[in-house]
Amino acid sequence: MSIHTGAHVTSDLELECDVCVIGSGAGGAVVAQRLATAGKRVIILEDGGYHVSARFEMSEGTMFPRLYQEGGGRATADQSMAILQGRAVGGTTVVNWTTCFRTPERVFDHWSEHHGVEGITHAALVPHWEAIERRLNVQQMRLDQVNANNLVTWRGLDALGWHKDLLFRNVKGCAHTGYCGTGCVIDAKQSMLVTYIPEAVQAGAELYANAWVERLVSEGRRITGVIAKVRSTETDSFTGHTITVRPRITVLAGGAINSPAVLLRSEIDPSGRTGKRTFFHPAVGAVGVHAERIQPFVGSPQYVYSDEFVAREDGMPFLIEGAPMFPMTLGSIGMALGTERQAQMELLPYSSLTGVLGHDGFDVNDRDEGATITLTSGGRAKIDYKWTERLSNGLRDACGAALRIQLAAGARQAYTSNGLYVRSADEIDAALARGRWGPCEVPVFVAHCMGGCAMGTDERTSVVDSRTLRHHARDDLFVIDGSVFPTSCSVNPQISIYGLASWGADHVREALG
Amino acid sequence: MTERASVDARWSRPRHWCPVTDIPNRTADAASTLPLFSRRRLALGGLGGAAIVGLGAAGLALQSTRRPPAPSEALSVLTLDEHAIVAAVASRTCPAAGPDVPGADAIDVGLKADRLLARAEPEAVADVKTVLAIFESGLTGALFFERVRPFTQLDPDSQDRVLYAWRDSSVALRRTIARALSSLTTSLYYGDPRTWPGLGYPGPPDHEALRRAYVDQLVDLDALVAPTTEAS
Ligand SMILES: Cc1cc2nc3c(=O)[nH]c(=O)nc-3n(C[C@H](O)[C@H](O)[C@H](O)COP(=O)(O)OP(=O)(O)OC[C@H]3O[C@@H](n4cnc5c(N)ncnc54)[C@H](O)[C@@H]3O)c2cc1C
Ligand code: SF4
Repeated sequence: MSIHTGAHVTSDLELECDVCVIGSGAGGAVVAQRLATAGKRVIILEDGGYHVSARFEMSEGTMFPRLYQEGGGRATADQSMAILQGRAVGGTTVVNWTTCFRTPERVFDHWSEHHGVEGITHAALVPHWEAIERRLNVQQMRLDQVNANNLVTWRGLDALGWHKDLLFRNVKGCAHTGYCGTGCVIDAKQSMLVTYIPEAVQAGAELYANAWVERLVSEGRRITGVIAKVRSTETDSFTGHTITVRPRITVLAGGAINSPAVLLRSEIDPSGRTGKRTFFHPAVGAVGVHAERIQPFVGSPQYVYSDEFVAREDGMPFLIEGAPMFPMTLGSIGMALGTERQAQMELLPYSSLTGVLGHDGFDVNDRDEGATITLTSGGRAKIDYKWTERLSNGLRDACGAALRIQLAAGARQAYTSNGLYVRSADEIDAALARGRWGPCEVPVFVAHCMGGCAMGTDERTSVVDSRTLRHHARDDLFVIDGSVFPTSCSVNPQISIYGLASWGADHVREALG
Repeated sequence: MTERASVDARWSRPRHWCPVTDIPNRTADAASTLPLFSRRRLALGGLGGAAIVGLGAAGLALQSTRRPPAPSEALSVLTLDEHAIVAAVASRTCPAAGPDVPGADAIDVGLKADRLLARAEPEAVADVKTVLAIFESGLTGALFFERVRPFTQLDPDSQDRVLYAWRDSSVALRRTIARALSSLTTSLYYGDPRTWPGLGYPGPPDHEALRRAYVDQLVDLDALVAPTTEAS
């Protein structure tokens, strides 16, 4: 009935419950709330700390180390992709930008046709989405709310005659500060921290923060224990205490990268598929420098998007969205060094960003495997993204589209993170041809981690049964988070995961009897 | 309350959003004259295979690191040499924005890196140490016909050339190391509020004032925490 931090745990603990939920983000919080409100005894183990909005400081330098995996420094092993992923009570929903999309039907069709996904369908999730969207106050933005930064992308899309629309967001009483990425200080963002987690706890769930699940202990097809190491709230290092939970059912909801890592540490990988096909919506974009002040750090992060290239068949599809810029992330993402970078940075108030999310995992010829998660000798997740020609070409085309949008909206100059500068649209093709598009040649930004415990019906090619989200090799283990997607989900994933989690919670309840 | 009203009432006020430095001349003119940067390539002059053989690999690897002034506080995980390497890289990746803005040395990016790593997993710390050692080493530089002296001992122009060469290298590992060093130093530098005036970034609004303005919608998250006296 309450939240315990590492400071509360002063001896080793042995706990019993109906359901142990590992991770308190989009997947874990929804499952925990659904089961706790149904009267089940729920224990949630969360690696991150319990950081409350009263102590959010709206500064990247202060908040990233507190709220993100690896202090905000997570990346692929070759450093070609910088990966932002949350680590806190509430998971990545604490730091996300509140954009809401349901999983498109075409994605379910693709999963069913190419990945043997049965059971979970678009139609099956609709009632779950409706309930969740009501609870999280999901609403479409209005044009008169759009900030200067996103208006640039809107104007550019309009001038080019490309598809454009206003985004939906899960906010209530939003002051449009723009600081979603460092946690909402006024609880306007309807993250798991302020919605489903408090509801789960009030319904009787016990949440242990600063509790890193090292491994699951198995006997045959059953999980007999969940072992977590407790961290210090001060230093984040292990205190030496452990929490051992003996649940009837275990729900793994650590998110992509982390959930596969738990399974690998637990040596639960009969098909050899655990950690394979991890996808990231690899993101690039173009910055436009404008005559007027844009202040891309003022106003909500995202208001507008374009579907113009989501169905393209001659290369990696991509989704276009307005995106914010703050000094630390902007400063660290580009290839520019020294005076070149400083010149870019000094133009920040006049700069606007059009972001592009690549849809990885959809190549039917399997030249698009995404990342593989393995373990380092110390048991940490190692992330190796297989960089393909399809990806390089896709990133090039995505940058080209973003450059066109910025210039069509009136930018005096536009540039990409790999240092291609253009002043007019007729310079774009030559610039793209000049560009280098390999790993660490074009910096890629990742905010959406998916896959690695793919769902499906074939035990040889998937990790989790898509009819229930139960692990193929354990009767009392479910995986319920973004890691079960067989490809990227092609839209910002939070709503997809909430819906999937609510649907999955019904199957957990059924298993509890 | 309509969304729009809240935007207007709270966020269009200059008090919050007028940058400390209003960069008055950096408007249309500045934008239209943003330089068309070109990628500099390292022109390798003077260093060749013979020089490497002549100097001897072991000797190169052992050349000492040039240290900047000692950090103002004791280091937790980095050695003084490692601190010096981070500081040297940062001074080239993050030059001072202008006379009123501190450079990477004044911000002590090396000390910030130490503080960040103090909370990292031991394996991650070991990785960073390896990257620093490889990059600093005159031996590694010599292998690529680039330099025989440690990075910290080079003059600033040579350091820039080395950084560009690693960033633009056809060898993936060198690009990886350049990327790791560049993102570590620049994120620590631009994450520091002292750099913001030079960027025309006013910093975040006063979060306590915001919470007072929106007190009605705040969720009492502290109430969910178990009592501190709990003996678990
Ligand atoms: C900057 C940013 C902006 C984003 N913006 C949007 C957006 O606008 N719209 C959108 O739809 N999506 C957005 N996302 C992504 C979205 O929030 C995530 O995809 C979603 O929250 C993932 O849900 P999940 O349940 O899979 O994992 P998470 O929400 O990441 O939750 C997993 C939790 O499990 C914990 N955990 C992991 N391993 C362990 C372990 N071994 N033991 C205990 N606990 C563990 C983690 O600490 C974490 O708290 C954004 C992400 C980022 C980083
Ligand atoms: S933009 Fe809105 S939801 Fe995001 S942090 Fe600001 S007030 Fe919160």
